[in-house]
Amino acid sequence: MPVCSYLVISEPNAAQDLANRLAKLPDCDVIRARNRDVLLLVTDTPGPREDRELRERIEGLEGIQALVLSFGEVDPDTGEGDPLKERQAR
Amino acid sequence: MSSQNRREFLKRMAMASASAAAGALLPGVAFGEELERYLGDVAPAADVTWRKTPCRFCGVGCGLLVGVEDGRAVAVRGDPESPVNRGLACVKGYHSVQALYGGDRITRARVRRNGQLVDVPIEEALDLVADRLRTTMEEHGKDSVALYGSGQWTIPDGYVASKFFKGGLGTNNLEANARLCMSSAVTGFMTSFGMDEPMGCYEDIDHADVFVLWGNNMAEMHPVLFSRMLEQRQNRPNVRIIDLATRTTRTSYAADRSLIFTPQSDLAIANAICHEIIRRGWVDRTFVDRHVAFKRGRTGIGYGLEDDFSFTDEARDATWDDYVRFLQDYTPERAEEISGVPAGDLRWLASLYGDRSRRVMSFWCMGVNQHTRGTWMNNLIYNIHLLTGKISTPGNSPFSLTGQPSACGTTREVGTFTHRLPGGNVANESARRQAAEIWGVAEERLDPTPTHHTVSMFRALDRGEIRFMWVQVTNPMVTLPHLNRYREGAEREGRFLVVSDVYPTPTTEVADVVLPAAMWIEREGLFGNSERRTQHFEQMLEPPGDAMGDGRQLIEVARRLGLGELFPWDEPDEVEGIWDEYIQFHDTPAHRMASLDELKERPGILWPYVDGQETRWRYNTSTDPAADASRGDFDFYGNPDHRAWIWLRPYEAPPEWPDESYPFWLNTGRVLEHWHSGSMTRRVPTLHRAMPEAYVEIHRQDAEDLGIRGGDAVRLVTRRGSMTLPARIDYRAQPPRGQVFVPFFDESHLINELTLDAYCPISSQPDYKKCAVRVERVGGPGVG
Repeated sequence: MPVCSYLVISEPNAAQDLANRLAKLPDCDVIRARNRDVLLLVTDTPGPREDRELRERIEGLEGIQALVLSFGEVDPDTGEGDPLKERQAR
Repeated sequence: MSSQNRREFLKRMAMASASAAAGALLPGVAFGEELERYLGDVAPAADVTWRKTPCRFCGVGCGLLVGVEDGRAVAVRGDPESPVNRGLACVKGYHSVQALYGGDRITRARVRRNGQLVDVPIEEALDLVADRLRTTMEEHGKDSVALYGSGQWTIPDGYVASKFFKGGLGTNNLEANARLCMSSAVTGFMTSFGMDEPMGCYEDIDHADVFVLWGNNMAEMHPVLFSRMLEQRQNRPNVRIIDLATRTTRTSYAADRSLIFTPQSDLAIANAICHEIIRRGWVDRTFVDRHVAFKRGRTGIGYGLEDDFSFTDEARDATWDDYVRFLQDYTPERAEEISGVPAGDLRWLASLYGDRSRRVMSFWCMGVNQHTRGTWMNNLIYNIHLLTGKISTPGNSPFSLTGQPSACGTTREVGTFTHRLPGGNVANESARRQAAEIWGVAEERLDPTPTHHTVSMFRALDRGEIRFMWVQVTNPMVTLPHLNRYREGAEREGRFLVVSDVYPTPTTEVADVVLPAAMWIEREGLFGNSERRTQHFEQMLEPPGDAMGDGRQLIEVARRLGLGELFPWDEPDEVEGIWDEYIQFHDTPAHRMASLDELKERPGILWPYVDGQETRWRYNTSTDPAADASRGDFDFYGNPDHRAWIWLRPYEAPPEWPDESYPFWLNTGRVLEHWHSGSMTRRVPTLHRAMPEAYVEIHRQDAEDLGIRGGDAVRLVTRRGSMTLPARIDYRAQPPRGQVFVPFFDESHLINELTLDAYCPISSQPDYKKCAVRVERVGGPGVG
């Protein structure tokens, strides 16, 4: 059950439109800066697969200049997102 | 906390983290009530208790608040009470507690049997360590055993290490990995001022008008201080940030100007700035006449590549006229030939330092210190500030940054180096007498002769002069230069290697005994950061399994060797007992430290701490209680003549230079997401995902010439080894033509197998920033 946050820098003057489109995606909370073309985005998805799919949808949106991951939480119960387990799985 | 509340809590932390990142990258950005509502709407986490601690990672020493719930650290936020970071944290700080919970945490002691490490009870492992220590000394002498630690030792741990090996065993075979990252800063301070550590503090950032960053990618390595700098520029339009570097980085993009120079040529640049300052009449003659002396040292001093290399510098008096004549070789035009930086830009840079209306801070870290002339470079930056009198006053501050949380507090102040005791050099009779008195040992027990610095110590292990080595809180089988030699040395027959760590690493792979270590807030401790700030943290968590603090492991072994009388402390008063004894070494106005009770209450205290007052600017007679006001506005009391020393240090070429066989420069370093060798941050999912593996950064035109595309497998070949890595072109940074860069955090790509173990002959700090390399395309992505 990953919780992640991103700093989203939009293309010039595209922040409001981008915020509207992000807000319509499932599992997304978005807050727009008042004075810059910047958004804060928090995603809360049911599992790693949904997290990956959502990230791909976000990356596919037009108007994003940069998407910077700021926070990501490993689930302590399942270990999902644990880099050791990811390395072992590979 | 219910599962639902926990998720809401995590979302709030995630949003806070993103807003902090936005604030750091874009000063002045505002999110208004919507953000406040989001953070406030989430139910307060009633079951979470918050306690203060300095961050576990770099030397900035950000204050953090760690949220603990049911015995588990669940969240982190920047401490708004901390004068260091004022509530900010970087991406590593925000994820620091996750580094406690990697799935492969070492929780039991392991001993090598029939080639395999097997779990054993901790008491059995400690017995074995003590027995091997004793028998090795009996068979091969006291200097056949060694202890190698780091700037991640807490101050009490480092103190126990020094007392055990120097006062108990009588050997000076004690070193720390801080030798690899800031010993040139130490020798720079010692040769220019006679005392270690900065004269200023982070508050200088709030006063400076110009920031000159010497080979220092602060945006990635010290992001919180960088954000404080950006905030000043946002608020004060006259503020300028100048990036002086060998490659274009995130710092360059944020700076007002970026000047790219040829590796090693910073020596010529610094001298050219001084040449121009004198030529234009920008010297503060009153300051220089009253507070500065001139010195020459030896030149043509070598690079430490030979096993039997030794060097001792010699300070000879020089005059103002000697200095002016010396600088005639460093006109801006001559420096342009050496550095590639246009003479006009060097004149402009000199004008920033020379303008009496501007206050100037210089920052540097590994670019200057990991340098075969690292001590000289430190001297030369001080020369600029001394010529212009821009030192020891608010905003006028040459400032050497550090990379580890207690490189200053532990390795430099306790003195966990071969040549040091807590109160001075081992060669100094009064320092030995002081240590003998405080420790209650015979003065004869303390050896007056230093033995090995770090590279020399691992060479001695290779040769067999050292037979037993204990490594704590560091990962030398990733971080030593010319690594192949030293790994083979550690694995030779007849060597015994003990490693205390929290995760398996390439160093534990070659160990005979692995001891499980408690990490950071799993035990009580203190760190000392880059600005002389000492910070206390209490134990917040139980260490897993049999893990215990590094200092406690040392005490357990010392007691087994019959040295228990030196270590009478036991938990829960162990840290208090150690601290009370340790601060006796610094009980003078020049270095007095706060009591543990005061440190527990406050978000760190700057030393010298005299009569309840911190000292923000040393050597300034109006702010430093150790300075003598009868000497004027300043008293550089570290030197016997009470003057700061300007050194005549020339440009000298590095030992390796690109040639036909190896036509590129190889530069190595760090990245934002990972801390040093990556043993902790690679266990943090977010950080690992953001930067999963090392790469080689290459200029686009060089890549095209070699037929390399982004992601292609590229082989790097030096005189010491070869390695294949994926290529990155126009990635987060760009090297100039003829240079490649590789980060060293990735244990699956040990770039230090390729680096050169040349070092500064004065500081013995290796140069990881420049050697010659050949670049070959191997194939497309995934090949190799």
